[in-house]
Amino acid sequence: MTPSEVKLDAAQIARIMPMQDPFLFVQSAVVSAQEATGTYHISGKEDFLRGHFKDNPIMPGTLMLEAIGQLCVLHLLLGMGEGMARPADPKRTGLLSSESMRCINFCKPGDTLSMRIKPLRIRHPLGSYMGHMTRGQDKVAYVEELTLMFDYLPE
Amino acid sequence: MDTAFTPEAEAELREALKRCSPETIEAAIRFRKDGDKAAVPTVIMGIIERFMDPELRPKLASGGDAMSLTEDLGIDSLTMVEMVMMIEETLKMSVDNNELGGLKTVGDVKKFLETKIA
Repeated sequence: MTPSEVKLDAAQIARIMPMQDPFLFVQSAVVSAQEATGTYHISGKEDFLRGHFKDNPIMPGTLMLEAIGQLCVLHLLLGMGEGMARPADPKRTGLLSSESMRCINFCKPGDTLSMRIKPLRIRHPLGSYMGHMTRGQDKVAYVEELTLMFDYLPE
Repeated sequence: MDTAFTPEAEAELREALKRCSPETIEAAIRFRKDGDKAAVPTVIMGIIERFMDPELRPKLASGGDAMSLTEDLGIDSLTMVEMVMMIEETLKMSVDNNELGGLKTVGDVKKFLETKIA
């Protein structure tokens, strides 16, 4: 029987995802057919924070979108979503488009970002999701529709 | 005529098409509310335009049905699937991915979808 929800820690996520340190922005996740939640803790040791910005480390908005997109990738790779015949192939999954992304708050070292994504529709070779990011009770960013292209793992 | 076209369904349709031109949205509502098939080409052209590179959009307005989706309008196979998914949702019809292979021009898409809803 397939479990309805899968909980993953950082090591398990790293084994599944094509993105790896220093470009993996999902450190824990809970994934079901209907949604996925995940977290990323900004340690302050990230190399890009040395230049974003000078003497003022702030998580780039583009990387917040990347983090939300990575959680969507994880959802496809687990193959749990409605409309998925089997898991997606990590070598053939990538970002296609995003619509209406908005950053609402700055995030700094020490902050833990919480993400939540919901599939809008999945139909091979496309999966569309909406995504939100919060820090505690504060809304940080959202994307109305993020579309990934994917192919299935060979049978 | 779509008997289930409630005010909520109209609001959903407007939301789904919010990046299309106002003419496209109104044509889609005419089709869904009154079954006006004459509105279908406007819907199709509006959705094609929405998924195109903004720099190439004037070509769509000035060209005819013979324009190639790939070579003239820069629409690749994945964009084609995105486009068709939105057309399906808007016109409440379903298209198999395998049916898309034969659609090479703007005219092919219009003819194919008009036949589907006839």
